[in-house]
Amino acid sequence: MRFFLGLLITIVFFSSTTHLKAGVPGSGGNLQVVGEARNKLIPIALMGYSGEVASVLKFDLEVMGCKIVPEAEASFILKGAVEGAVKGALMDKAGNFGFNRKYAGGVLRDQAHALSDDVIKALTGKPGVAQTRVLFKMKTGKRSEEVFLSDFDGHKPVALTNDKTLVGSPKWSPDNSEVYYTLWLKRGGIENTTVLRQNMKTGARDVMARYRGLNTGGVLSPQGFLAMILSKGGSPDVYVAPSNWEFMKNLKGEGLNRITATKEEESGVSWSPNGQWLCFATRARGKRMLVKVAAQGGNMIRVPTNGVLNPSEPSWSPDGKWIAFTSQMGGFNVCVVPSQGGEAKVIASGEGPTWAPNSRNLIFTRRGVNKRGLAIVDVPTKQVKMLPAFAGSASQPAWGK
Amino acid sequence: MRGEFIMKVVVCAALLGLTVLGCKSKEGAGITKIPKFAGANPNGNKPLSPGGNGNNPQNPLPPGNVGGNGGNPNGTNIGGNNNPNEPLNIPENYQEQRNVFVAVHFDYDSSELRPQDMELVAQVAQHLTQNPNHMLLVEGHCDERGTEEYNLSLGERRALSVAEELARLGVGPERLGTQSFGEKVPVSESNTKEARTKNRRGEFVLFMPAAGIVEIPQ
Repeated sequence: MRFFLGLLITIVFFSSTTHLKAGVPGSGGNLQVVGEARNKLIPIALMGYSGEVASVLKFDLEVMGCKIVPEAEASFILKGAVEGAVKGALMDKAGNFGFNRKYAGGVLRDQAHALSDDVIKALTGKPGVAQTRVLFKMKTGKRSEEVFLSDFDGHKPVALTNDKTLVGSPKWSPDNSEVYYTLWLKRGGIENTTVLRQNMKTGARDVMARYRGLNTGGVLSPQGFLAMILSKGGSPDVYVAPSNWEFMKNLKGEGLNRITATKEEESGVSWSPNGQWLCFATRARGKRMLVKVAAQGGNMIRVPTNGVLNPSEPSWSPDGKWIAFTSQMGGFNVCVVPSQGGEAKVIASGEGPTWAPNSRNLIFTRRGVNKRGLAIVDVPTKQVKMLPAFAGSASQPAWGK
Repeated sequence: MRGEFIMKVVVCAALLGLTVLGCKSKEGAGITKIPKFAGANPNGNKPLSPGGNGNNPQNPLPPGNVGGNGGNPNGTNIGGNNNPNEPLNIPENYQEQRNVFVAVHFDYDSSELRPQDMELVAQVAQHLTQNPNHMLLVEGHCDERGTEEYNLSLGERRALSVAEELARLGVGPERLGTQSFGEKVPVSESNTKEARTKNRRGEFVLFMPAAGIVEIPQ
């Protein structure tokens, strides 16, 4: 009994000397959880890290709304080392304990990403995005583009296609098991736009649409409906194919639900996360605007984007609350508006934004001097991080899980 | 003294309790394992499964439809007789000719045919009428001053504008096709007004039997 008590005493003395409170489950230790509506950068100091791990931690944490500062200015400290594996101990400036972890598996970058996510989880109670992936289009030759997959920070890029033709608009299916994209496919003497579906496990591909004219903008809803922009009706319009769609059984397009029949161009379809609404850009009635239509069809309802002009390329946030889009007023601006419409806010210069799973970060395209590149913004703080430049012009990113 | 001792015991118990709780939610005592990367098979090289109507047998061209198609309320449906929704089906012995006609051009953010291009379009229509076995693809292109998705649709509207005018002038819609390239294939990559003007264009791609002779319009 005495020995047992003695052991307990020893443990107490060797642990943190501060008073302990029960930590909030998932937040770790007893750190003050930062409110998620935070629009100020969280100042964090990194101690004991160097090289690649340090730069990964810095990039990840800054993407997710932190600022790496010297210890004297920090509210939180991440102290650790890389001894074969990444280690990290998180505490606040008063020394209150968050967590103390060691990572295993993968390469050092992966471990550093996992640590970054754990830091954000501990500080905000919300999951991070440091272990997610993105799709994008990259120019690989004079008249050649391919669909690429990479880590969210642009590392480990892998070509998903090798057709040496033009591609466009890669999009994830909601569960990320498939990707949809547009391919300028040459068959029967004609290079025609084709909406393709590619299985992410097997690489198997199926034609979703290859009608006369333009076939593009393929994007799948959670219910399995495939929205597309097709011009076979005489003008680029929005169509929806039902679930289990087989193009070969619908060569005349009978099974398609035609959502718009305007003489103007529609573009950039995005589903609401519950699959009940389609949002897209149109110039119906002569004015460029965003509209939404019920998934089964119906009237176009304007989504006002007050304060900015010429909206296009809408992206509906996973939590349903926001629509990000491109506004063109001279240059291009990434903007955000509440999903029911209203006052739009300019977030960063750039175009083609898509939301991260946290409904907080956007990845988008920035035009450079010679080529385009990708960048990420933390919407509430507006902090922008550029991804490292790719070999070729990179654009049209889609953020996955 | 005794109170402090009891407090430390209580604290130890709480500490142990927390550690147990903590272990339950993590894989092992403080070690976080990185899940195996459920990576994609990047092998997009696989040939496409038998899908897409490019596998249909090539049909001989029906005779030219001089009367033209009346057009739908929603715009002329440029389409073939068998399946109006199929891309233009070019017979195997045909060849592509790109430089027979110059391009038409468009104003910024517009898909309207300009008055100064009407004569050229009329020439193209005349050529197609006089050569009923020729087929034509109109390509729509944009300058880079629009977003990529918007430009793809705008390019298609431009191509359709031209094709609609050709159909109106009597060319059978089944011989006409459209394809948008958005801003992807510029004539000039310079960042000048002249370059952008050149890039906003509709190009005529003629398809004709390989042995045919092309009469360049004077």
